[in-house]
Parts: sequence; C-alpha cells; structure tokens
Amino acid sequence: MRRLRIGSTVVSRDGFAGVRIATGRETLCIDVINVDGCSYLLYTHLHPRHFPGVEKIDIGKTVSPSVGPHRIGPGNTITLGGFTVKAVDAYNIGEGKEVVHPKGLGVGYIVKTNDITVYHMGDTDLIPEILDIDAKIDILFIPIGCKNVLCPEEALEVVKSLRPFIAIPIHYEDKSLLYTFRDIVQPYTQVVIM
Amino acid sequence: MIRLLERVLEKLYSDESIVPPIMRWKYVDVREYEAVYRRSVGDVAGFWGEEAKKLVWAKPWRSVIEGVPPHVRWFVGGEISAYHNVVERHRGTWVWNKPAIIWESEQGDEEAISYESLHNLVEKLSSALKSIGIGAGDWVVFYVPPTIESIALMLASIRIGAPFEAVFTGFGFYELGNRIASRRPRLLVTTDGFYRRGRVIDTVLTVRRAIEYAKHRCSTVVIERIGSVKLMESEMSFDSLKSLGGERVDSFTGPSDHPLFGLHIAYEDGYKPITHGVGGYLVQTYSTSRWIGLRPHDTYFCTVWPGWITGITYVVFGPLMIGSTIVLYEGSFDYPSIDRWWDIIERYAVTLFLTTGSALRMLSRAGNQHVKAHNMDTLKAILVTAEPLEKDVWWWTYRVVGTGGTAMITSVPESLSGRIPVLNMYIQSELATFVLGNLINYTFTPVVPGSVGRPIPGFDIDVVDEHGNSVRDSIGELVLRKPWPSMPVEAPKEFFDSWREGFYRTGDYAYMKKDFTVFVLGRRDGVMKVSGYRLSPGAVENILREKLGKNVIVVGMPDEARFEAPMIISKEGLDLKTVRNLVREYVGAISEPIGIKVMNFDEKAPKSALRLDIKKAFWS
Repeated sequence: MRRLRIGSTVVSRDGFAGVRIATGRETLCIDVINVDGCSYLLYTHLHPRHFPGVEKIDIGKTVSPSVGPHRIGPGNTITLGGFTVKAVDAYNIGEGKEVVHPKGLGVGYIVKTNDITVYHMGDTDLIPEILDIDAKIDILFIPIGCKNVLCPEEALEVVKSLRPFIAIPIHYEDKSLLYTFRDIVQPYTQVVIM
Repeated sequence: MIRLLERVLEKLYSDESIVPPIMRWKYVDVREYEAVYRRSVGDVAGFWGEEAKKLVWAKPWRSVIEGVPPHVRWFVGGEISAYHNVVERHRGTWVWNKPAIIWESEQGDEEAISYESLHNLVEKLSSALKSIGIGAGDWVVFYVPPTIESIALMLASIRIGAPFEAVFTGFGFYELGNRIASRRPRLLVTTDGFYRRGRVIDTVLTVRRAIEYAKHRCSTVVIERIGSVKLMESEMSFDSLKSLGGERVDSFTGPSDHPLFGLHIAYEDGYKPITHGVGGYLVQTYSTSRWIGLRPHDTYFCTVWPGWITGITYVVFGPLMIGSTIVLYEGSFDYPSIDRWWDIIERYAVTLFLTTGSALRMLSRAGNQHVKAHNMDTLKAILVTAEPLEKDVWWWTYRVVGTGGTAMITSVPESLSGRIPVLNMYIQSELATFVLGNLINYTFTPVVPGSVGRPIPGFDIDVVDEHGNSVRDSIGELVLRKPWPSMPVEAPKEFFDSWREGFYRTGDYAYMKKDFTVFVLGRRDGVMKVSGYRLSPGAVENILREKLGKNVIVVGMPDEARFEAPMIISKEGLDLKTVRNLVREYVGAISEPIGIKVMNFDEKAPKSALRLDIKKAFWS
C-alpha cells in the first residue's frame, strides 16, 4: 500500500474508495472494507464497495449518516481524537444520469488533522455545495469513475474551484478515465495516483 | 585515434532533421537561430548582463565582467542572496502553496512538501545550523541520497552563506575522506542508510570511516531513514538539529563570487575540487532552466542525483528557482522491476523527464512492453545528459517512449510516430550548466538524432583542430572561446591550464557541422565516462598501488551499455575479485573494473600517454 506523508499526516488508499488518514497513533478510515488498524470508522454511505456490513465493523467507532452511534449529516462537525470531521453534501443531481445517491443518502468528509485538511468527496456529482467550500484543501480524494459519480471533466471543475495542493483520484475502474482526469487536471493541482 | 573516433561518430551521426509534432508551432529555422546565437556571443557581457537582471540583487554590479580569461570575475561589485533567488522569491505568488518536492523511496513511501513548508523548514534549519556554530564560508559536506531533508539542509546551508559539497553515495569512504580532507567542513550530513535494490546502503558507516581516514574533527548530522543505527557522541539526528531552533536568521547576502557549492571532479590522476560562486552560477542556472523548458506548472523528474553537476544545477537549484515541482526518487531504476521510472512518470503526471544516455540504453534493451505498460502522455519532453546518445537509442526513446498512448492530430501511437522532443544536452562540471542543446523555450531548431543540438546562446562554442583553428565537418576538440558567467571561483591547476591559445579546452572530442549541429564523441584524455559519470582512472590506480603494491593502468573500455567501463591493465595477473572488492570499498562501486588485462608496458612512461596508447589499441 502506497503512503503519502505531508507534515506529520500520512494518507493512503485502501480499496475502491477507501482512504486511511494516520497521525501518530491514530488512524481515521473512510469507506474502508478491511477495518484492521482503524481507530475511527467513517462511512460516506452504505453501498457495498464502501461499507463492509455492520457485522464486520466495531459499531462503537463508527460515524455515518445512517448507522452507528454517531449519525452525521451535511454541516455537522464531530471531533474524534486529534481529528476534526465535518460532513458535507454528496449526491447525484440526475441530469442525464441515474440517481443512485439521492440527496440525504450520503455525505463527504472534510477532515482536519493538526497540519493538513483532507477532503473525501464521497459519491457525488458536481453540486453547488462543493463549489461553495471555502476551506483550503490539502488533499482531495476525488471520485472520477463517471458511473454515479463525477466524470473527469466534472472533476476538473471541482479541482479548478478548490485548487487542492494534491488531488488523488478514487472510485474508478476504467483506466482511460484515470488518464483523462490526470491529463486535464494536472495544470491546476498536483495529481498523485495511488 | 581518428579511426576510433570515427567509429563513435558512426553510431551518432545523422543528417536527419526532426520536428516533433508538439513543437511544430514554435520551432525556428537555422538562420533564425544563427542570428540570435551570433548576437549573443558577439556581446557576451551584454547578453549575460541582461539575463542577470532577471535575478534579485541586493546591490547591482558595477561591471559585468572584469579580468583576463581564465582569471575573470563576473558581476563585480554586485551583492546577492542565493537563497532568496532560489526559494524566497516565490513568497506571495501562487507557487508558494504548490508542491516544491515530491519524494519517493524505493519501498514506495511518498512525501510532499510545499514551497512554503520547505521555506519554514529551511528557516528552522538555518537557525539551528547557526546555533551550532556554522556560519558564512564554512563548508558543509553531504553524503546522502536525495531526500527532502537533505535538500532542505543544502538550502539551509546556502541561506547562511555556508557553501556545500554533495558527494555521490556511489563513492567509497576513501574518496569521501579525500573530499573531507580537502574541504575541511564544519559539518557533515548523512543518512543512517537508504535502500538500493532492496538492500540497505550503510552511509553512516562510510562517513565514520571517511572521517577517521581524513583525520578531521567535525559534527555529523544523521537523517534517520532506516532508524536502526545508534548514533555516536559526535553525531546528531536531523530531528535533534531541527529542534534546536535558535534565533531567526536573515538570508545571507554576499558578493557575487561568494562560494555557493563545490564538487570534486575527475582528472586523470584523481579528483580535484572546483567551486562555483553565487552570482554567475545562478544567472546561468536560471536562464538555462527556463530555456530547457521548465515552467512553474511543470512536474519534473530528474534521475541524476545531487553529487553530479546535473543533479545540483537541475535538481537543487534550477527547478526551485523556476517554481516547478520536483520528483525525487531515492532508489534504483530497476527495483522492484525495470519499469520503475515509467511508473513514477505515470503516477505523478511528470511533464519533463531528465535522464542519462546509459539509462536509456539499458531501458531500451529491456523491451518495449515495459514502456507500453504505462501511460506517460503528460510528458512534453525528455532531456538526456552526460554522454553521447547513439542515434539508435535516440530513435527508440523518441518513438517508443515519446509517442505516448493517446492518438493526437499529428501522432499515431500504433505506428510509434513520435510526438515529443528527445534532446541530448552537453554539460560539464566546470561549465556548471548545459551549454549545448536544443532549447524548448528559446531557440528550438529541428532535432538531429545523435547530436547534442546546437550551442546555447551566450556560450561561444567551437570545435578546433590541434592548432586551434576552427574546423567544420571534421573531428576536433570542443572549446569555449569566451568566458561564461559560472566560471569556477576556485579550480585546480588543470582547469587554468585548459585555457590555452585564447580558449578553454573541454577535453572532449566533437564534430561540428556547418549548420552548428554538434556531436560529442567522448574524452580526448584518459578520464573515463562510465554510465554518464566522469571518473578518474588515477583514483583507482592509486588505491591498487597503495593497497596491493601494484603499478597498474586503468583505461575506459568501450561498453555497449555504459559507454565506457574501467579496465585494469597489469603487467601480471591479479585476482579480479580482490581488485573489485578493494575498488568498491575504497573508491566506490561506480569505479568497479570489468576486468583485468595482462600486458607489458613501460613503467617509466607518463601514465597519461600510456592510457591513451592503450585506449587507442582497444578502441580500434
């Protein structure tokens, strides 16, 4: 597993849309299926490639819009050890595409550690709420697979708006989408493929 | 000799002129190039004086150049801060918040740092260096792989006016010790090791032996990469140094010729120190870095480590002055598999790739499938340095690596039609920057495969016969007829002796066409070019005389992969394993000989003449 360090925070991808954010002894996991080593479990929504099922997780550590002791919705903030987590909107708008993620089903997470801000967008289309985010984003985990999430061209608009320090594509199967994303986005950020 | 040079030339020479598809909108013809070039070398002082205005000077110079070559000084009376011109000039611009360096270890660990964070780290380290007594003019010697910490410490050194020398980790303790003895540094910087082909290279042990050999007392800062070494009393960890803090110090501002960095470079009888000064060096570096195509939006990957001139100029200084993002890779090109560099280019969206001819030769032999497994469409150019690049290898790089995977209006991936420029450049430690080569952001003329392009504006380059007369379409020696801004502020006698009959002799044979295209053919003396590294035969001879009591001659043999490879010439049989172990341990793995040839020679004859005679015999 590749790990990228910025300051004292280390991020890595884990699976299709999964992400680990580690600082010292704590690891916050988002949409991770194999939860070994996770101090906190965050889920953007409960679709199979994002959520392993309640029987496979420690429910007490879990934060999500619909399971676990810490139910969270867009605009809510929670502090988990050294992490401050804010939930933000993530949904499909339905224009020309199927609405698999209706508004209210899922969220994205903006996670602040003591030195950087990481934004995992969840499963979303290009929605106005994303373009209104005014936080300085250091690492953007951005879905680019086109199927029920952003297409590379829409992802470009997100990157142009947020201007993250580094953008890491997630949630794709077709590699041609990955290269399209990388090639059109690179002038506006630094793409790192993990 | 001519016969062997003709054989080299045969592998290089081409009459073809290629305009890569992505350069069709901006290339110039040779007449336009000639006009710009002749104007620049007609008034070298005026040309470089204009270029120097692009740097930030604390005090302007009163004259661009004074003295008689080789004893000249540039930007006399000018005062300048090196650090301000490399990093701090970006404060307040968009560059400040972008990645300055992305580092990757052989194991796959990655780290990124912004210009702002790099600056904060450098500020902290420069205060810490001051607090342990390092000041302007004190030398700091590095024996490190490329890491963010080592680059930050180099920048922290120049921030307080302390010049540095980076010693390539391929050199053994004896050669490192010689450099320590020569520079008498106040501080050494190393790592507790690093991984190469999955094996730990014990750098700190080499440093300890080198210090003992040099009999020089100084502190050592150890960057903890492996975390398994117990530090000695005279050693301090990088983290401990960083935590020392201390008062914030201002960037050092000094005269234009204040020493910035040095290298020990290969001459026939050993390695000798040269030092480059701040003003002239940074002028040349900033200009050539822009001209070779670097821009702030670029993600740039150079495979040459600091420790060689390309790695200093086009890793530590040039890209940072421009505001580009540098990809630093710490490991071997073929670990865990031979496509590692292609993988790096793909994953970090690298736009400009700089490597050596030897590396391309080896990669081309590994087969096209390793290249085709990766999408490298972000590349806009491939630059090649340090040695002649055969036209076959050029064509392979242009077609197989340079076409890309996506069809464009003028390039077709299936037919390997070529898309981006592949440009061999010429550099030498004494010259500090590229002085020959096609320039993406300046005078880009059609590319001639196998050549090093045409002379870069500002450098008065010629090829002369043994009488010093210019020759065209004929083999001669590559010379510079006028001084260049980064002339060393300190150099051995050999450098000054190279100025004869009114020009500087580079020591390289070359062939120049009437249209200014140059083909560099290799050294005219016994100095070796091995995998692009300039190596001294004398250094190997000395250690075998000292340790085995044997008088041998070392000659660069033609080598398909590395251009040249060291061969031991001995009057009696020697055990190759013993010789190799000795050379690896003392001089370094890069000088390891490929074999031993038993041959009679006159021990009283000058070694330089013997080397040339033997070289002629083997090469022809």
